[in-house]
Amino acid sequence: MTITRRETLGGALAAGFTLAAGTASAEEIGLTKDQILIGGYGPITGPAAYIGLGARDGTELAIKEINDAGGIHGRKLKLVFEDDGFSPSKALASVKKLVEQDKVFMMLGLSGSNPTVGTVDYSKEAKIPSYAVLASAPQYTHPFNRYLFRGGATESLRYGELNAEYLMEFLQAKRIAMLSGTDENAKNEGDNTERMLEKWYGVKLLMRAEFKVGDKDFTPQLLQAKAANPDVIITLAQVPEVSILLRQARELGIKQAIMGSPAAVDNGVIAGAGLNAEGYTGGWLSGQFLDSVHPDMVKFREAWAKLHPDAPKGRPNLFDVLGYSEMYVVAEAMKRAGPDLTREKLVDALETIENYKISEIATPRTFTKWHHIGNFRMQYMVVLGQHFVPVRFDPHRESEILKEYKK
Amino acid sequence: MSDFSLMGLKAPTVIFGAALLLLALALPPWFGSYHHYLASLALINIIMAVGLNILTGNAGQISLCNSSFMAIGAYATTYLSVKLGLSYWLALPLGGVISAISGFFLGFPALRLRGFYLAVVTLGFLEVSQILIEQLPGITGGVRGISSPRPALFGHTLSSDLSFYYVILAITLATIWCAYSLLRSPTGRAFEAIRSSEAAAQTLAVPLAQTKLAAFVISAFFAGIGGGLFASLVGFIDPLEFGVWTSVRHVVFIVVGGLGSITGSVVGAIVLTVLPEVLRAFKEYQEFVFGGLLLVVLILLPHGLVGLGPAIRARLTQSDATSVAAAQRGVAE
Amino acid sequence: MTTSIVLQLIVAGLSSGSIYALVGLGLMLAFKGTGIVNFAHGELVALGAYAALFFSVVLKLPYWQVFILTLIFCGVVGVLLERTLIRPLMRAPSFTIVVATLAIGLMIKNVLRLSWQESVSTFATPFDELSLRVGEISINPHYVWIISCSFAIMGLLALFFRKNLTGKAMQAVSQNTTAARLMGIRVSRIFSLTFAVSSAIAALAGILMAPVVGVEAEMGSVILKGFVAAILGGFNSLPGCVVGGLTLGLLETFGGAYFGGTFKAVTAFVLLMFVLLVRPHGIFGRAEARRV
Repeated sequence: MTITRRETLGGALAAGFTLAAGTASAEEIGLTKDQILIGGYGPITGPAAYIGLGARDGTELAIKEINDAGGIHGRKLKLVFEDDGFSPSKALASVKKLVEQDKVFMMLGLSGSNPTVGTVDYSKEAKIPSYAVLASAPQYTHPFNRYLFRGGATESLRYGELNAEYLMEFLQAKRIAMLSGTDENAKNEGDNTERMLEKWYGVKLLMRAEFKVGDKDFTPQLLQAKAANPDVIITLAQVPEVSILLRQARELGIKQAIMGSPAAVDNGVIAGAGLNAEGYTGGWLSGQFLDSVHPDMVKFREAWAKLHPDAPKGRPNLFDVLGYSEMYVVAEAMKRAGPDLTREKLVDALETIENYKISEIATPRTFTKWHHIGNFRMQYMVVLGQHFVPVRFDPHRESEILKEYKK
Repeated sequence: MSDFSLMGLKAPTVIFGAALLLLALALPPWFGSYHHYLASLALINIIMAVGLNILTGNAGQISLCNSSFMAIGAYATTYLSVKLGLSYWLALPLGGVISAISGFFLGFPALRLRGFYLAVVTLGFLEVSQILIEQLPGITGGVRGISSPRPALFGHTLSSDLSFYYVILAITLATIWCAYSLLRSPTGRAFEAIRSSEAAAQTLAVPLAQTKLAAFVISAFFAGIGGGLFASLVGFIDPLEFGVWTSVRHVVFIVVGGLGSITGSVVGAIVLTVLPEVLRAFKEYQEFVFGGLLLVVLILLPHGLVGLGPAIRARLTQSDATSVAAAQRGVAE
Repeated sequence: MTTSIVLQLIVAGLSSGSIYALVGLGLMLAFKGTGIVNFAHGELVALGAYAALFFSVVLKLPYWQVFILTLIFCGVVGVLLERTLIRPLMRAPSFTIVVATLAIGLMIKNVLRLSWQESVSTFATPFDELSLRVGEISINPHYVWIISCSFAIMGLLALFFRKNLTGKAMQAVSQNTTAARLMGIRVSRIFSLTFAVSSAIAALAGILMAPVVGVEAEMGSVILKGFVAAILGGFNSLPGCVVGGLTLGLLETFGGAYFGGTFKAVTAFVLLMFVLLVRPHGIFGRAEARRV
């Protein structure tokens, strides 16, 4: 409580100085002479905790590096992070708390689609720059809003476009079967892949069967897929389901290639399915895989391990990488906005970001005045010799989303 | 003990209630939208707890699917007002009625069961209702969720959290009043009778099936109203919001507050809405701390927070002696 | 559908069925012995799997030592739980106990989730390298191991209750605590023992499940299937619970194969509703004897 009060006082003083200096900016919330307060929310409790824990710690790592290097125009960054338990109602409570109690300068969305969508109306009303790192729901960027940005994860339709192009042009598949989970992420990616296969290539799925998150047996769905005799089976689900599914597919004598979604390109799949995972392929949201020996990834892993010497198994994960690299995108924009930082200037500066990435562990981000979707790419990976290795595949078709925006 | 009483309520309860109401009316304008939102959530939780307590605390039927009725109310209200264009003030009670009808249908198979058999069957009902929400995206928005806008009153949209808070407060008070009158009615006494002993209740000509069904229907109606309010308070709902842990939380409200007591429902719902916000400081360990605190409270106060007052008072009367003795033994061990 | 696929389905159904039976058995044992429905039982299954993971991956012990150590470890955890948390609540209202065991489960689940954050993990077993081929189908040797191991344990338990003095004492306590106490049985020790055995059975289900479905914090949700198995058996009969579990496993697998995934998701509850309406005391159960 006292801290908040002191900061508010400091904020008022700082704003007073700015006014005295003759700039037009009114007092800016969450900003002092030597600090920028950033709000963040994501799940750190409940089944989705791995998402928020990773994203939070990755962001913290970037902030520590930036602060150690002197901060941004003399200001140190500080993250206030709140749990949303992957629930829209709790996410809204977190964002309200961050805006009204902690009085943050900007907001980092480190949660999944539904919780993030739950905060959209309030964020728009509060006119607070919000940068969603992991949400893919279209409601976040449609209709266009000046204050809402999407980095990290791309929009759900884009997953469909990339999957369709990869299936048809790289894997050269003609006959495709789909098995998908009933969770929001898998459903969206499945629907969009189905839609884009048909729209761009005129290819209809041979079959599509669903299962529930937490299912342990996929024999029924696999038998259906086997009967359809496809070239490729695309499975859209989380890691635990996919690792079981891969093994069962081989046990049932299914020899076809199996492709997954970015949610299940993870070493857990190799651990769970072992040799059955060989040849499994799917999109990955950052530049290099976690166990890559690329110097940038090695540097990231070492920095991460230094900050968390007693880290639990399984970390850092994808969300550590995304939290880290997206925080650098935001920091770059803050740098560009200059010493007289304001929320409006930050938005303007973010819109100048073009093909920016902190290192090879990230993929480039671009924002413009007319669209705020920073990422349109995925790096496809394949399991070879019990490791995910990158595939040389560069999508060339222009996204329907961009065409839509250009109209 | 004082002789003062109002409608049969004891003096401490009246004073406590009046103080709480005064705070609820006067304080909010001094706070921001975050606190209005939390207070509104607390009020909705009170509605859920009061309704569930009638079924579980008074009629003795355990239910782990209260969140399903909440979901039915939330989705029905949203569908009726958004897709069918009905006025929210008509859609909300209709949502409650639709939820009550589902409660009626669940009540039938539940008539024959008791104890944890009932708990498992209600868990099954919850599972099935979750699958239905997912499989009917045309009505519910499926797993992607659905937006539920704020209603308008006298031509003004209740977009500010403060104005909607007062609406929810009024509905909550009405709910509490309904529950209070109900429990004092013959139906309310019939609930108590079947909870104490079904066999004895039958010999006293209490219609067992009808009474149990009534308890299911009433608690489902309350949950439906709470769900409808919840949907437009948050503005966006998805099926995960109504999962098994939401049901468990409602049971925790009434067990921690006090089974069979309206005061208990109110206290439990408020305490357990505020507690998670306080526990935010524990970051990823907050659920662990929550579980630990819960255990401590249950071990020290097996009859809930309101068990504290009556335990002291009941030394004078004989009626509660056994449960108090049990409570004391529980503490002693 | 070819014969080899049918064979595969039978083995898969029996193996998930034996897991359900084991989980149901642990639940039933605790309930019969102490009158408590332990909603943290699913998390004890997960705890067993994580303990085995720790012994195997961190301490690098061979499978058989992991197996024994995990059972002992979880048995001890069961006793500690009973002594410190369950016993003070023994006389509390039943709803309080339900919520308390849920709270215990929540705490265990959070410890597991935070201390091991791999999305899914496995540990090595001697069966990984084996392969049973039937035509173009291969049958997972873990399935066979799960089935035989569960049956062996269930047989041992049956013998224990029939022949062993302690087993008989446990039976006596479950039938009438006061009478048992009058007969000179030390009831509190029997309560602890009951929880030890129940937790060890949960751990066994965890170890057996882990290589097939992977170790993750949510694996405790198998408790629901365990409930269904136990209720099908009337919640008071060991063979009833086994038959209940196996029926559920087979029905799910075959129902799913012929009628699709949604059917599979609701099988357990449709079966449960049906049995409870037709035979409220389960397939093998006798009329329920309640503590008053």
